[in-house]
Amino acid sequence: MLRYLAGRAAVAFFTLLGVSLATFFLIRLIPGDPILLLMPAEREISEERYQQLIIQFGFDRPLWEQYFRYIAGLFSGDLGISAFTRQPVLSEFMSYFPATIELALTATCFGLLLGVPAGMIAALARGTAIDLGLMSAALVGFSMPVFWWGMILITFFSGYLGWTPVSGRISVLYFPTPTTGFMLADTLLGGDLRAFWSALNHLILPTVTLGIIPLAIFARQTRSAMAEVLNEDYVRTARAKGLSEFRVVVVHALRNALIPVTTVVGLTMGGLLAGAILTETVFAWPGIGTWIVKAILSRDYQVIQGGILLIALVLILVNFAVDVLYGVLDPRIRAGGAS
Amino acid sequence: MTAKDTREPIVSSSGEPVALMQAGPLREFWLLFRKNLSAMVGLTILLVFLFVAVFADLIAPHSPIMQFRQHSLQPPVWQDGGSARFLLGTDAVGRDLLSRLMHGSRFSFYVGFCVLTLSLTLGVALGLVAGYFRGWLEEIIMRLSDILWSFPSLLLAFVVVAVLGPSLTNAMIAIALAYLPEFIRITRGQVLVVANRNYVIASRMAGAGPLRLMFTAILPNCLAPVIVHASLVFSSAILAAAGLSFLGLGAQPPAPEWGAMLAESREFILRAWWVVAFPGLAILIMVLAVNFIGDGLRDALDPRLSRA
Amino acid sequence: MNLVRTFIAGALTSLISAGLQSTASAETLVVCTPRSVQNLNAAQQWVTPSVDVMNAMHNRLVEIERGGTKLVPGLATSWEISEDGLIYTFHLRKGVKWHSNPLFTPTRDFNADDVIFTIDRYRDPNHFFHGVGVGSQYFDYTKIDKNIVEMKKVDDYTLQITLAKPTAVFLEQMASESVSIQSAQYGEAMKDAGTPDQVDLQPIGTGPFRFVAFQKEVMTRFAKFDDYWAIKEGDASRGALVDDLVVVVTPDPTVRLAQVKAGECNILIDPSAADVLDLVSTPVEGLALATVPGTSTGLLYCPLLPFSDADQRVPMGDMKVRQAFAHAIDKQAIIEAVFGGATGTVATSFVPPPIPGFVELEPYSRDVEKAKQLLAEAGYPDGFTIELWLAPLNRSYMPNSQRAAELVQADLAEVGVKVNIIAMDMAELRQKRRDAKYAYMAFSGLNMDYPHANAAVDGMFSCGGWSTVCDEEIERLYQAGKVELDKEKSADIYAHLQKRFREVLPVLPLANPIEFQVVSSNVQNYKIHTLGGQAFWGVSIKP
Repeated sequence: MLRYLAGRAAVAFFTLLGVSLATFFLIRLIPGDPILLLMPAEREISEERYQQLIIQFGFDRPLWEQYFRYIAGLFSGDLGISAFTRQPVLSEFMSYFPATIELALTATCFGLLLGVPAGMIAALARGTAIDLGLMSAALVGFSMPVFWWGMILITFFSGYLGWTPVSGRISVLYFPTPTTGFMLADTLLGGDLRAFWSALNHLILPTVTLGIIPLAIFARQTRSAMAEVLNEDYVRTARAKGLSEFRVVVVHALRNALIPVTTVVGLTMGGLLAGAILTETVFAWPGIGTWIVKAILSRDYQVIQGGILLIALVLILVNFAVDVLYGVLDPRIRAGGAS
Repeated sequence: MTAKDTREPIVSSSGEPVALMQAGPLREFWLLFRKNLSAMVGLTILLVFLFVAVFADLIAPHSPIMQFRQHSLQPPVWQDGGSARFLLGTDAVGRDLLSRLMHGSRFSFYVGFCVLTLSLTLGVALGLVAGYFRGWLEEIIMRLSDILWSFPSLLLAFVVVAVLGPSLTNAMIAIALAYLPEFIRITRGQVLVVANRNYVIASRMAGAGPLRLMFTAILPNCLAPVIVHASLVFSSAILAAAGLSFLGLGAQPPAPEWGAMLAESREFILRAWWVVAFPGLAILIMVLAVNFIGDGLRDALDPRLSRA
Repeated sequence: MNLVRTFIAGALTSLISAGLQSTASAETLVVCTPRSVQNLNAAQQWVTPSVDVMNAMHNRLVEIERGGTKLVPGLATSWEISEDGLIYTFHLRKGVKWHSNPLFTPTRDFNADDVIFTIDRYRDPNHFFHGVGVGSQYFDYTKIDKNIVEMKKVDDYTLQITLAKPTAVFLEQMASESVSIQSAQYGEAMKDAGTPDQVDLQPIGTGPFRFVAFQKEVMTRFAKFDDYWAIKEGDASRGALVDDLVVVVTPDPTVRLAQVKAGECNILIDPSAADVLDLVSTPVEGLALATVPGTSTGLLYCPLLPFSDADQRVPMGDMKVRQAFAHAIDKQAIIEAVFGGATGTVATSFVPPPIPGFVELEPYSRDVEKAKQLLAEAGYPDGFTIELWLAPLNRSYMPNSQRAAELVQADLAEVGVKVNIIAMDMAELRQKRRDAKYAYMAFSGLNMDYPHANAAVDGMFSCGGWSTVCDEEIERLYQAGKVELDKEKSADIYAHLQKRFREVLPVLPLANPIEFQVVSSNVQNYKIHTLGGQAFWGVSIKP
């Protein structure tokens, strides 16, 4: 087990090193100079100021030296500071990441709550019109251009019906102390129910937008896993023993069918955490997706390289967690892993 | 079960494996595929789109970039103020929406095919090499693939497009790069399974060289999951390209790419619904059609899953 | 659709809306703005319109009357100018309190040391704070640093500034946001604490609002400053009349509009042209449109590049080609399609109409034949090919550069000029502009820093300015106008300058924006201000 962990860690370490190397040099290939952006559009920067900033940012050093300084900084836990805001990259990441986690979690829950039952029903009604209808609907969801879906939802629910707020995480009237960074938790901790409602309300449309594809994936995965499980001998045996259909389906079939679904949930979650750029753009959601995109547009090198590295780390951790979870859930794998 | 599981190699009497794409299995596949209603619907839609794309110049009522400035933001024909001249209305500078949509389908096919060709050939080749030769070569390919895979795909595409400059071609390269690791993984995984099969070992004993082994014995029998995945990549590529165009990194004006059209029309979302609704619907329908076909492919190639 | 709406509304409203709707409280003024400042250093930042946040927390020595162009006393109550125009004596306001924050509690009032600290910080390369933050480009641009010879503290409340050359616009420049006065004492304290960056990260000022929190691309929060000098002087209406001020960043105009409709913001800055038209045709209850003519000019420029190689100057180096472009481009069509026919007017001069010195010039008529003839005279009877470098630019002077580019492309095609639109982002555009090796065109704009026509010429059409067209007569008039203190003579010089400009066309003016803002009707005493940041003092919310 220890050897396995060490192996995983070593692979992760080299992957991250590769990511840092690739990012560092790739983003410096992007044409454009951050210093020139520190000026309004209609103006030119003075040459003296330009030279001063070049030195201040360390851009006068050779690239390899800049890279080694960056790596040396990483080992002491320093990801650098943003060229524009002068804030440490890590603390900026921490201020945007909770928004992304919160949205990813609610979107996953939304997908699970609707997707798993839909997949189950479709599996039980295999070959019928219900199955065809549900699965076609799931495929529509799966094919959805999310940015368009978000725009349509805004038009109807915010613009036309005026029910939901249009963007942001919470009404600006509320300013909960960022204890956890999660709006729902912070507002509850603050004890302000109206603020909690506001945060919840702001989450609805982004959740439905971001959750549509996970919902479709979960529904399809549940259906195929269920279909497979329902054919297995032990389910047939259970039926033959005269157990109630409910017991057969929920206790025997669903439990086993959910194992592959769990993996998919984990992987989907990883994808959502990596930044739902399009959804965040449409809803002006202050998550890491928009944060990094803005950084790329302004060539804020420290933020881009730090941000992408942190996201890669999150992805690697999530994948590891999925593998562990899969091992715990599926005894066959666990047995295989031990041998 | 009438169908054979195509994942088991079909071996002819001479002991040589028969490639998947030869007449027999192909016909069998078609028979299965034809029975799948939604897949056939998808195929029909896609063929219609393909027809429109190919003959857009002939059937589109107007040029996609011709600006009828007196007619800007005219609603579709069935709404008050619409006219039969512009069936689906016009955009903010008076271009005919229907013509733009028709020409736009070209971009989607272009993106889908190019991304697919690029990432499929490269990914399959790398996966094949990794799975066949193993050792340090595999290690390098898989580690590089891991690194590529650790970037969130849209973000990777975003950075690559930023490096290469915003254009549809560069967006395609970026998307193809983002889809590479999955092809590598799938192919390698299949190769590892297939390479130990008896007929491959037999073939090797018979003195077949590595190239011959890879391409005639192993590759054809790895293809089923690759093909299923390919249809997924085709549709995701269309979505991703539209997404990049939406962010301003893909097709450039005045190209009538659907995602770019959506981005251009954002400000009219509450005022001129047609400029927002139609490009999005076009993307949705095309992607949906491809995904229906993809499901059909999967069912036909891997019947174990669906028609038990 | 209405049936559906009634049905769904009936079924669900009772369930959710009661609990979920939030109503604006009377004490918070929320402003929705399209762009975020990158940081909170007023001398570095100039991101219209979000520079508003600087205005809320700072004062200048001299300020610009809200919604107008007149200079009014700020932290200086009065000033004298010597006969030769070189020595400015400022009499500073007494009893002006600084904000405090968790890091720092001020122990003295504002005085001349603070002014000297603020200007020296940016002017003197050896100043401890010179390298703190990311420069002071906006301040540099005024070039006051180059012109100030000496700053002398006569006493705590009298400051004498000596200039190298007389200038007609020194007071106007001192009124720009970039010279927002900072606390010398705070600087010292942070320097001693080893955290000099905090001066810009958690700024303090003397303004009507004090800084509370900032998240880039999200929002900036302020709270009412109870010890504001105007309140202490007995003029509460010049202080903050709301408890909190929140400037929220919402890039998408549609979303911004929905926010103001939902009561999530009180003031919406920069609505899209489409939304303005909508609000005019179907007014929304509780929302009012505020509008003033803008103080900027959208333009198309075709620089002749910073080097003198004659080959590289063609074809845009020829005045006739530029005039042909002016005839070929249908500016009214741009106003219709890009400005919705409502949020802009065709520009004839580079000086925006509200700015003193503006003269009405005859616009170039849309005349394809004339344009072709001019091109032929210049030696391009068959036209030529030129690149249009396009970066997303959605400012009020150019709300949609992409659509404008498509229009320009179609117009110029008619006279045989093939325009290749090359899209890029702003960072790349600036790099390419710096490294340009061949002729190109791009959209840009002139934003007035201060209410004087000089602001539009300085560094732009003067020789060596970024239009890179160096016309001797323009240069002569510019130099004359720069030092002319007499108002009438000055107006005469700028009238001539604009006539010459119309002929030479160093840049092609396209449009002057009409600024719109959507203001909820419970907001009182608010005025749009286009020269620099908005001012939110004295604005109240009727409960």
